Amino acid sequence: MHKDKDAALVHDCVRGDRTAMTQLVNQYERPVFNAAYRILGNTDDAADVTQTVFLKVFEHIADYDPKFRFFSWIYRISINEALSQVKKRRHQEPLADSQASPWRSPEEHLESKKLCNRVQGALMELNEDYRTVVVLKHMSGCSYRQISEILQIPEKTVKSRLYSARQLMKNSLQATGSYGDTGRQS
Amino acid sequence: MSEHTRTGQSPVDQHSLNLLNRGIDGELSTAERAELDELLSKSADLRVVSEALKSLTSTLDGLPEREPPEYLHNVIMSRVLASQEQAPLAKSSESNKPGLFSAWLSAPWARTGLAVAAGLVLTVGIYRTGSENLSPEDTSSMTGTIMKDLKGTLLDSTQFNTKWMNGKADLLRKSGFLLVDVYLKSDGQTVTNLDFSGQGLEYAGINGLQGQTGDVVTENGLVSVSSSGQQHYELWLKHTADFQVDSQTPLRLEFFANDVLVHEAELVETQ
Repeated sequence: MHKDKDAALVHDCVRGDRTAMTQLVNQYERPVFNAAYRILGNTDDAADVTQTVFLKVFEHIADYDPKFRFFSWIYRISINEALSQVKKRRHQEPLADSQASPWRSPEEHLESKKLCNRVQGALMELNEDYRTVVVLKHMSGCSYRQISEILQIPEKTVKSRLYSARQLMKNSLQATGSYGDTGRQS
Repeated sequence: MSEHTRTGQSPVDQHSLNLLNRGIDGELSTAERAELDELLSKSADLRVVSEALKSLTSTLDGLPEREPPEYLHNVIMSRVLASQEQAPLAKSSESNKPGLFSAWLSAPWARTGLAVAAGLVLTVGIYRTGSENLSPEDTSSMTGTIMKDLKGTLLDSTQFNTKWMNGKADLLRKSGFLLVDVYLKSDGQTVTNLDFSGQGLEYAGINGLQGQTGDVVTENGLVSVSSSGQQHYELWLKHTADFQVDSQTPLRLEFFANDVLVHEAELVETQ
């Protein structure tokens, strides 16, 4: 999220500088992959989305408008691609719960603690609008304003979706006993 | 439907919930902070909700970053560079027209990009020939349409048709990598072993293997891919720093169907 550095890299990329392209990929591969993974809950799909994002970025980089922040642009492409993948998956072959589970691979079994898995599970229960703002806020570390810019929605809507999403996740986690205040209904 | 209804009934009013959320995000003014503190001091329910929300946001903020698959960086760079060879970055009068590249990116079968695009052509070919073996014409037409310019330089190839499994493997050079492009069709379980030990090569990744049916094991110059049904995947290799052109030996391939060796081949990286 370094505006000047990104602008310089983008400028070099437009001129066909392969070192700059590599640097841009180095800088954004992890955040793009992680945002896609948290939205899709699946490593393979997130890797596919990440590849497509960079192909689109470099295909259209000459059209990028530098008055916007580069990270907002690449995040917007990433979120759109991830959501498009969610829709495709829904149309093509509705995944069984076991396939849709974010914990189906051995690596994924090993990666997280139980609470992290439950939180990812609760995240996957949210609709895409809510899930996206949670991912951008808590995994990508974006501010309300940045989320508003990436999703092109008013900040007020960002807040409303975020607060509702948190409430739903809290309820879901309390229902599974993940937080210790199930005695009180909230 | 209001947010409140959607998120379930709560003994805490919406104004207090908004204050709590904004407080968690560090968005409160001094006066609002004081108001929230007072509300918290008076309401046990609000304190419970506050603790739960803090736990949730703390867990969300602390979720570990996922490590992207090892192959991903190389595959991205290779595909990006290959696409640049097809369509240079410099903006031209054609740049806004949807080209072949955009067409397949937006197509519903674009899940794994180039590899799957070729796989789809393969699939069409297989369905067209039904249960018949793959003919040389079938496979050459598969690779000669969409993939003609994007596949890279063909260095060597092997093909086999047996009653247990049909397949083809091409050795290609593309964007500084060596690719073994494998097409397989079998009714049962298949294993492909690629031995590149002592060649000054290292494994860079696999692209296109269908997640639900495939598995990859790598060890000391050997890659073993288990799969079933129809598969099309690319094994990516790259030269190590100690690679020497004159010390090359062929890459060795073995294809097993239901644990029976059905085909062996050697592919040579011609310079």
